[in-house]
Amino acid sequence: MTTTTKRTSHNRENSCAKALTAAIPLHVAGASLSYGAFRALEDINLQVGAGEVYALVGPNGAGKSSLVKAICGRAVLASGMITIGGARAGSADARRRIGVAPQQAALYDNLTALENIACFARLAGVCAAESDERASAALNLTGIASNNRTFARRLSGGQRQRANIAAAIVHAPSLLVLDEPAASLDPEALAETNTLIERVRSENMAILIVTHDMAQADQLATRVGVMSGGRLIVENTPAGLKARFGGDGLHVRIEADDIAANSLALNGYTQDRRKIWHGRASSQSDVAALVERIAKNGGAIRSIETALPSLAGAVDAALKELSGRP
Amino acid sequence: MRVAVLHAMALSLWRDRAALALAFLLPAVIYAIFALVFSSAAGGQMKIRLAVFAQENEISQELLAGLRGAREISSVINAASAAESEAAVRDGRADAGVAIAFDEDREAPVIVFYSDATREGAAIVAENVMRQLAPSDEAVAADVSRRVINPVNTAAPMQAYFAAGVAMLFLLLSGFQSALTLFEERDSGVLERVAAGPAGIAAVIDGKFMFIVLQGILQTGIILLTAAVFFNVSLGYAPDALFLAAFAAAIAAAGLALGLTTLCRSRAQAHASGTVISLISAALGGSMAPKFLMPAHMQTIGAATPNAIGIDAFASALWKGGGVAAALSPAAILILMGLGGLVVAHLAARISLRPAA
Repeated sequence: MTTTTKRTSHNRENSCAKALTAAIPLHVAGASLSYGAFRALEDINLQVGAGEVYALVGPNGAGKSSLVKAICGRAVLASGMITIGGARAGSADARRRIGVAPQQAALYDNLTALENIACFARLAGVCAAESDERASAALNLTGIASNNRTFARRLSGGQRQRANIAAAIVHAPSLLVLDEPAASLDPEALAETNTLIERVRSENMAILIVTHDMAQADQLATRVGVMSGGRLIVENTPAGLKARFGGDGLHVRIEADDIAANSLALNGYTQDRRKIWHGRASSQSDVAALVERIAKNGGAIRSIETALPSLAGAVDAALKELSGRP
Repeated sequence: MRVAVLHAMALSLWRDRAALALAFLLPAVIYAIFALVFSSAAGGQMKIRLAVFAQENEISQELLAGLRGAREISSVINAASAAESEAAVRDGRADAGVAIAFDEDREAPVIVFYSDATREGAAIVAENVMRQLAPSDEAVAADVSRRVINPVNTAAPMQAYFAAGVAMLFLLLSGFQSALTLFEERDSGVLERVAAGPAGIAAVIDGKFMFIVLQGILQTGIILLTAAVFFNVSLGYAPDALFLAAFAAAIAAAGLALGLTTLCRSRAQAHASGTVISLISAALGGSMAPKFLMPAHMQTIGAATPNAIGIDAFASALWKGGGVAAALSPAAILILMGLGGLVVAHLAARISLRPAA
C-alpha cells in the first residue's frame, strides 16, 4: 500500500515536472557532473525559452563544453536534471528536439550542400521522401540556396558556417546549440552569421550559443550566463550585466609619459603590462579636466580613448568579483 | 632552427610508443615473417604433407619408410584406400597424395601422385623424393603418373587461386581505408553532430559497415571478372558458393577493419596498424604465395588469418570444388569474425570516437 502511494506520488511529481518543462526548450535544474574527483559542473540552473538566444560565456575550463555535452546527452549527470522540450536529455525524444552546429563546419566535403543537409536530415530522423525538401527549405532559410549544388569543400568560410547551421536546423529542432559560431570567421562572414542566427531565432527556436566573442553575445543574446569553475556565477541580459558589473560612466584608456603617471595613479588609474593606463570617468568633461591637470604638471599624453562599458569588461569584472579570478 | 625541428620530431616519436613500435620494431617483425614465408617458396626448405595409400608389399613398405624419413616431407598421413588419400588432399589435410598399387601381372608398382590444382608443385616434390628413394630396380621401373584433382575443370587454377588471394588482400586494405573516415568525421565535427541526434554514433558505424561490405562484394566481383575475361578462370562451377564466399569475406573485412580502427586512438595509428595487419595477414594467409610453400609452423599460424579462410571459401567455387556445402564452414567463420569486429567497433567507438569536449 505504502509502495503504491509512493509510486503514485512519484508519478504525479514526474507528470508535474513534465508539464512544467514541456513548453521550455531547454531546462537545466541543479545539474552537477563529475569526472572522477573533478567537479566539471556544480548545481547549474538555467532555462532557455522559445525565441530566446542564451549566450554561455566564460574562460576555458569553466565548464561550458561539459554543460553542452550534458545537454546533448553525452555525459551522465551526477545529480540534477536536463530536459529538452520536456524530454530528458539523451532520450530519443530529446535527441530529436535538439540540433547541434559544432565549432568546425561539420560537413562531408565531397557532398554538395544539398546532399549534406539531406544526409543530416535523415540522420536526424527525417524520412527519405522528405529529406530533400527539408534540406532545400533549410538552405533557403540560411541564405545559401543558390549554392545547393556546390561541393562543401568549395564553400567559403561564411557559406560553410551557414551550411553548418542549416544541417543543425533541418529537422526543425526546438533547441539549437551553436558551439563557437564566431570562430575563425572574418568580420563579413561573422556579420552574415549573426544575421542568420537572428533569422533562426525569429522562427521561434531556442538558441544556446557557446562563445568567447563578447561582441556577438552582446549583439545576439537575450540573456548571458557567465560560467567559472563549473558554476554558473551570474546570469542576466547583456544590459543588465553591463549595468551591474560594467560600472558607471566611461572607460578611459590613456597612453602617457612617466611624468603623467602620478596624476593618473592619484585618480585611480591602473597600468597594464603594455604600460597603458585604464580608468573610469563619469563624463567627457572629467576626462578633459584630468588631461589639463597632467599638462599643467608637465606630463604628455600620447593617446586617449573613451568608451561606454562593454560586455567583455562586465564579464571580466563579474569573473573577478564573483569567482575571485585575477 | 632545423635542429629544433629535428629535436621536436624525435621527442614526439619517443613519447608516442605506438608510433615508435611501428617505426622500429615492426619492420624487423615483418622482415622476419616475409623471410620465413618466401625463403621456403624460393626452394631448399619446402616441406609437404603427404597422404599415402600403399598396398601391402615389400617394395611399398620400403618406399613408405623412405618417404617418412625424407626431409622434404613434414608429415605422412596413412590412408586406408586411394580414395581416402585423395579425400585428404581434397579437404586440405594433405598437400599431395600418393597411391602405390600392384597389378597382378606386374611386379613393379603402379604409383599415382595427385594434388589439388593449385598445389601441383607439392606432387612434383613428392615424386622427386620417391624417385631418389627408389630402393630397387622394380621400384625404378614403376609406372609413375601424376594427376590433378580438378573438379571445377578450370584451365587456370593458379590464376583462380590468386584471384581469391588478391581479393582477400584488397578487401582488408580498402576496408581499413574506409574505416579511417571515422577519424576524419570525428575531427570535422560530423560525429559530434550525429552523436547528439537520434541516430547516434551507432548509426555511423552500421552505415560504414554496410558500405564496406557492399564495396567489398563489388571489388571481389571486379577481380573475378578480370580473372575470367583475361585469364580463363571459370566462374560457372558454383556461382552461389562464389557469392557466399564474396559476401562472407566482405563482412569479415568490414568488421575487422572497423573493430581495429576504433581500438586506435588516432588516424595515423589506425592507418599504420591497418596496413601492417593487412600485409601480415596476406603473407601468412596465402594471398602472396600458396601456404604449402611455407614452413609448417607458419602454415598453422596462417590458417587462422581471414585471408586463408577466405581463400578456402573461394576454393569451393574456383578450383577445389564442393560448392556451397564446402564454402559454408569457412564462410560462417568469416561472418563470425566480421560480426565480432562490428561488436568491438560499437563498444570501442564510444571511447575512441568520443568528440572532443
